[in-house]
Amino acid sequence: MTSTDKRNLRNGLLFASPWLVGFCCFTIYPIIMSIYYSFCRFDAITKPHWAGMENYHNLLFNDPLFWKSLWTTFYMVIFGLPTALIFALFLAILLNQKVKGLALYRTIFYLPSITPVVASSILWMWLLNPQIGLINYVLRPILNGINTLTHLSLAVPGWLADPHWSKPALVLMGLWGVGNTVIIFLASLQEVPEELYEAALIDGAGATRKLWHITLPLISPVIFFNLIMGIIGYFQYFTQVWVMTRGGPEDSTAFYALYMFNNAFLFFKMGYASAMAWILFAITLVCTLIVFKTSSKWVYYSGETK
Amino acid sequence: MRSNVKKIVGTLVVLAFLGTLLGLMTGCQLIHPKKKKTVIRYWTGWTGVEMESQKRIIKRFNEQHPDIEVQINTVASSYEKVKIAFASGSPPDVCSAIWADDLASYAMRGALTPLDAYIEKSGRHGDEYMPGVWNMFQYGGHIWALNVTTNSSFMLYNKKMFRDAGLDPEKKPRTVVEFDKVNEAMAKFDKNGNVLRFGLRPSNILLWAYVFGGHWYEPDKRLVTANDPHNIKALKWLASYNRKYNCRKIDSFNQVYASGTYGDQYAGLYGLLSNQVGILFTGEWSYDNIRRYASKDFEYGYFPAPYPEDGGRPNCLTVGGSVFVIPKDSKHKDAAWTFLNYMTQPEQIKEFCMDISNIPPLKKVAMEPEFMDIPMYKFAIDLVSGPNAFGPPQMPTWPYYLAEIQRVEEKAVFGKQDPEKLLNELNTKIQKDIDIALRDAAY
Amino acid sequence: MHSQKNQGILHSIFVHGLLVVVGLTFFLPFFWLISTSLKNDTQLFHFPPIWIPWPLKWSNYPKALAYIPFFTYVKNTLVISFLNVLGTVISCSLVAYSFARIPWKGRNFFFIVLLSTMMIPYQVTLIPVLIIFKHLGWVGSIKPLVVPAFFGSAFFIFLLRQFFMSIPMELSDAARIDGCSEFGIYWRVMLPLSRPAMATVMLFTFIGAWNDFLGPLIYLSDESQYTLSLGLQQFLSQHGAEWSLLMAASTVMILPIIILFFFTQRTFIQGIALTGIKG
Repeated sequence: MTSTDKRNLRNGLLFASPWLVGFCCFTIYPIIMSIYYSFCRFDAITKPHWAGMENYHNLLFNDPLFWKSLWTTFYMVIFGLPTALIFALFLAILLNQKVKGLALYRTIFYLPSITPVVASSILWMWLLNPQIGLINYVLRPILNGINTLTHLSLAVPGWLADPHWSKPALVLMGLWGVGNTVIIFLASLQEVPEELYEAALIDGAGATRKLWHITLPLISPVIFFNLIMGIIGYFQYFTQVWVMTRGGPEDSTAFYALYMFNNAFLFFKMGYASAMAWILFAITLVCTLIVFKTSSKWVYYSGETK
Repeated sequence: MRSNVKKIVGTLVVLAFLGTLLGLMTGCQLIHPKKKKTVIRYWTGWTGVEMESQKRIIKRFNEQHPDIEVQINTVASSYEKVKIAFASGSPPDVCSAIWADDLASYAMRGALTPLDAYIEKSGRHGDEYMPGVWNMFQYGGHIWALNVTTNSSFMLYNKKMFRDAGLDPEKKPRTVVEFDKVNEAMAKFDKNGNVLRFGLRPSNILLWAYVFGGHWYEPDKRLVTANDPHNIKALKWLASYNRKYNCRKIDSFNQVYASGTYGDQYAGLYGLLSNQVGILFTGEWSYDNIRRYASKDFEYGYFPAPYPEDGGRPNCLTVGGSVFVIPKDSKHKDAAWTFLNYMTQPEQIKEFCMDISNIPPLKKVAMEPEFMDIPMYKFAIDLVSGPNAFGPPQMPTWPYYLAEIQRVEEKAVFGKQDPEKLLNELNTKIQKDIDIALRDAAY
Repeated sequence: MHSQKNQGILHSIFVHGLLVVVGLTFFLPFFWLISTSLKNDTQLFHFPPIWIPWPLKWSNYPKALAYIPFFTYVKNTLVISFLNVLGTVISCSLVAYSFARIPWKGRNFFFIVLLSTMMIPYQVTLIPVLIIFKHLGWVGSIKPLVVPAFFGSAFFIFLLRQFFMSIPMELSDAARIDGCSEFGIYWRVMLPLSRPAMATVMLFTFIGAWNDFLGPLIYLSDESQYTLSLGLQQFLSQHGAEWSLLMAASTVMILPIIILFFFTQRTFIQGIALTGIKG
């Protein structure tokens, strides 16, 4: 080790020390304990009882709700996340046009992200109310119009009261909360050099081609970033359902994190919840790695070495 | 751009400064010397009117007991906080943010102080409480909790709607057969099958199992009885409603308020007052709301849960709610008991129950004219004091069991699965669960 | 030429139209929040929904602010939020500097560890963490809510690292030749150049702490220390919810942030742009 290496190591550790110390004090011990708990029957009050693989075995082979909650979570990752990303990108592109009153629009789109989750969830419970909610109030005449024209009998959705509609309701609510993503997209759109668009205009490229061949490749690193953060976020999706549905109706919104929380703090099954956490960790890691691996195919880095 | 950065940083710095200043100010207040008092930390889940009433009573307690100072805090609807505090060994000295449903779980795990000796020393007696309520304080032969208020549950109905449906409003359905007939007369749908008017879709198998003569657990034998034939019959009856009607539509029709998660006094009543919902499953607190919200000409009546004539239980209901406990980790148990004893004295209970329009769990207080003179209260008190008032089973895995019971009900009603098979499976699963929990506890 | 100009106008009308429609849709829930905050109980459940209640029940506002000790909670939330901002900015910039600019042995390993800590669900580490704080005697104070901020947060370290990496190496090299220490480079070169990024981290941290619910719920056990998010919960009582009051309190709670955001958003967005989030 050269003296530069030594100095770098010393400086590096010194600068990283806040996190390293925090990691040792507040992260390592809880992680080790929760791994240990995951192999125990543990009610969080009395001593843990060693149980070997029992929790993992029960989860994988004896617990249909585990699989159901996993599916519910994947539903959000598969349908909710792309919808939210596309919608956020759409809004960001709109905002990136040189129009008046941008500051106002940006604030409006960002508002939901700064609203306390407890408040916004309750607000949405009202909006989604199947009888007197605003959303169905708007939908009802539209559906009636369609019904008279087509002789169909479409009815307004039951939203959070109906297991078939509860997840779409959450996706809808997710669209409203894309503010953070919009802002991050917008920032990256503003970084796309104007000359590229001008060059494309001279080549006679239409809007679609510009979007497909210039904008998307250039902001693909940001799409990638939002995708990763979204996956991590949706795997831990909790507060909204905890406030609004507590998992119902018929477990249709029993998200993984919620079921984990219930096991830990409702059913006195902390060991079981810990095992769930580590399975979730493994799944998140694998998904993130898959996205990372495929990213070289579609994420475009503009020349700089990383 | 630079100036904007300055603006943000400037704003943040100024606000940070103000914040720190304010923080220091409160810090200073805390340093004031105080007389040596035993501080009792008391957590409750009550807020609003309930909290105000509690604060007033506690203020009086603090004045009358110069050596004790009770500090009240609310955890609002986040009872999980209590569980987390227990788990980390830092619970309060007295806690009323615990559901009766969770009591046995805590008791079995040694997290609570048994109150038997204190109760005896203070000359208190179990006879003071209504038997169904008193029963729910017990586990493993000890008393673990007391409470200050209780609830009844019964059916409230709209007489005008009975008349409109061609029913005699004075003839209350007594049996489930009569109840079914009322619903048949009441049910009205548009051509798309949307509900225009309905009585009540019975739900909550927990209650109906008792009504049908069944039960869920035998504490003495440590036996799970989910598949008791009466339970099966009850669940079949609940499921029959989704064959006759579209229960999903009925539920969505009933959901005039934001969600089932937060019971809302007025929201629940709204359907009844607006002549859409004929029967409401509610409790004595509706009395106050009817007075507040209903128009003068609103005519209503009430009746207990209808029961099957062969083996059913008349005047049946479940009781529960929040209970007061002293955690084992409390450092001032004697002072905690002094406080708990004070809170559960007739005067305080009477004051609290009148403040929040609930019925008192003490027989003596319930007999007082403030409660007895109101017919709906008297009716409610008779129900809760009766022999068919069931508290949560004295079972340490009850929270889990309860969640599974609700899932089974949804599967039977909406999933149209066989009730008998579901309850058999539930029985096996829960028996295994409780066996393991009790075995672990024995170590 | 003429047709291009027309196209420009059409385009502009189209964009504006879309923005207005989407903007209104986005704003609708807020309109509803405010409208609900001014309703009485009967208007709440009225069908068809009442858009603008009449008369406006302004008294809900003073009532909401008296229902909970609102201003005490504001003060508590501010203190916690600012200490969080302070701690996060100091610690994360230092750590990010280490991960971005100093090539030390084991750096990549620790960076991966850092990233993976983001994926551990907090629910299960909650109790062990709480036990640590209990042994430190911190439960019941705001320490568990602010001290960890001084040890850095993975997300912001990641964000700042990306930003620091985009600053040309030559600048540090030049400073080094001038005899600057590593800390000198961090302090004199990196920090002045990264003010927009720091502003972003500040705002994100502030909003996060301002809205945090679970942390205060678990660690605070004295009403005089409660924060606003906990206060909101108190409107949902066991026997019923004070919907209007809850909405009024929420409106008052988000108002300062809206104002803060409206006036600082340009910098904020530049901050994100400059962090060059690139996976």
